[in-house]
Amino acid sequence: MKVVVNSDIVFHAKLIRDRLGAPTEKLLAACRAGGHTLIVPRTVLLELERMQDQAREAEIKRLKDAYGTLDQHRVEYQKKPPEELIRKPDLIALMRASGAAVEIEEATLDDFNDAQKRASLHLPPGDPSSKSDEMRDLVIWAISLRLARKEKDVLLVSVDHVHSGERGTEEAARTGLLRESSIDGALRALAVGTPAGEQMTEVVRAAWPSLRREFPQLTEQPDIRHFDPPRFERDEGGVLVSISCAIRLATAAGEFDAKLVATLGVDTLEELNVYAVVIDGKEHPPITLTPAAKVLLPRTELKARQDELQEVLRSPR
Amino acid sequence: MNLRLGGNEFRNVQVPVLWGTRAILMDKTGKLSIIDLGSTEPRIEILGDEPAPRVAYAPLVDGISILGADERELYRYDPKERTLYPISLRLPECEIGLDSIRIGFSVFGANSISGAPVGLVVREDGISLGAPLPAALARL
Repeated sequence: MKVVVNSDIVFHAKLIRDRLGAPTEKLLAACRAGGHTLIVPRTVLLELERMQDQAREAEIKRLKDAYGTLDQHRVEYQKKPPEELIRKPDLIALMRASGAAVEIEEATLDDFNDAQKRASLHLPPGDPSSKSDEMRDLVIWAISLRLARKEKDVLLVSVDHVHSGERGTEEAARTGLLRESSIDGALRALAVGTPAGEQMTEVVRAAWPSLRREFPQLTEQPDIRHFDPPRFERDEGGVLVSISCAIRLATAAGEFDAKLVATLGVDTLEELNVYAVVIDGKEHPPITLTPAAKVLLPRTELKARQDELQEVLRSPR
Repeated sequence: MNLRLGGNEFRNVQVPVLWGTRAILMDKTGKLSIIDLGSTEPRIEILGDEPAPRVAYAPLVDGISILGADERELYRYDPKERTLYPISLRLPECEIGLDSIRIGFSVFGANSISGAPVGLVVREDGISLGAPLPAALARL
């Protein structure tokens, strides 16, 4: 798979020194392990470098200010030029040092023309009400679609609503472009375990006998093809009480799409609402299942944290 | 309250750091709590680096995603980096470091802010030190 990344996924407004940040490193490790290629559009690289230039300038200023304070107090120290100490990182080299295949993708003239047309005519996936033409985002979109038309598996990972929003859904589906709006989503697409994925899998496992009784088209064992970012909720004791998401499961002949709302008790899947069901292309009415099945989900003790926060709130005024 | 946060001293403040409508607090174990003051009653969203009760969230490999009532992702919190990343909230990043507070590319350290309702206010269009608490916000 080719994994195209936007700048809002890979880095943030902080100077990179010799580490890329744990989430980015996880993504690179997943690419390395799976033989996937990380694609960094030149547009993205330019923005990342601009952000790093800004972060570097801020760090240089901080160091100069610190030197000024030391000079003011006549403290002796070894004064090295900040510009030499605080260097601009080679981002591509850092990515490649992970062992993953990383390529810089240059935009073609057709990509620029495509983006220009979408920006000028307010065509999808851009937001027509946006004051910004978001040309940079549309260049990334054009590159991603071009790659998807040419290759079989291309995944665009971007938080930006231009890339991950509804207005791009039809075109993405038509070209086979996969989209995720987080590193978690990207890891799931690369079949790497994530906390949300593990918990969703556990809920589906617990519900499986009940689901199969109601939907015999499902495979013998759960085969989760995809799920949208889930929604969790805990009670005051730190116990998960609700998990909901849209999910796609495999059937013997095709796919099962539905929205699930799991209601949980302590270590128990008490109820599962299944709605917006489409099985192998056919709609199915909503249904509520009562698996009453044992489910093992993490829980966190919150009382100590509540006490610590109360102490802060009660601190002298 | 009196609080030391990211190398800055906040004394006699109601809210040390206000990130949009969200108060950022740190307990003595170094864990952050995030409280939304943008409705009639304060609502805890992050409690000691964990999702608070009755808040819609999603666990991430690098932290927590806090979701709004309309299922929009509001922001992400990384407890290891103690950093808030805005997603649909129109705000700069906010990192509570050991000896500084980073807001976007700006860094605040070794400041002493006393007597103002809010120590550090972060808005979409800027940052200010020692500001009044916006009238529309709930009280902690």
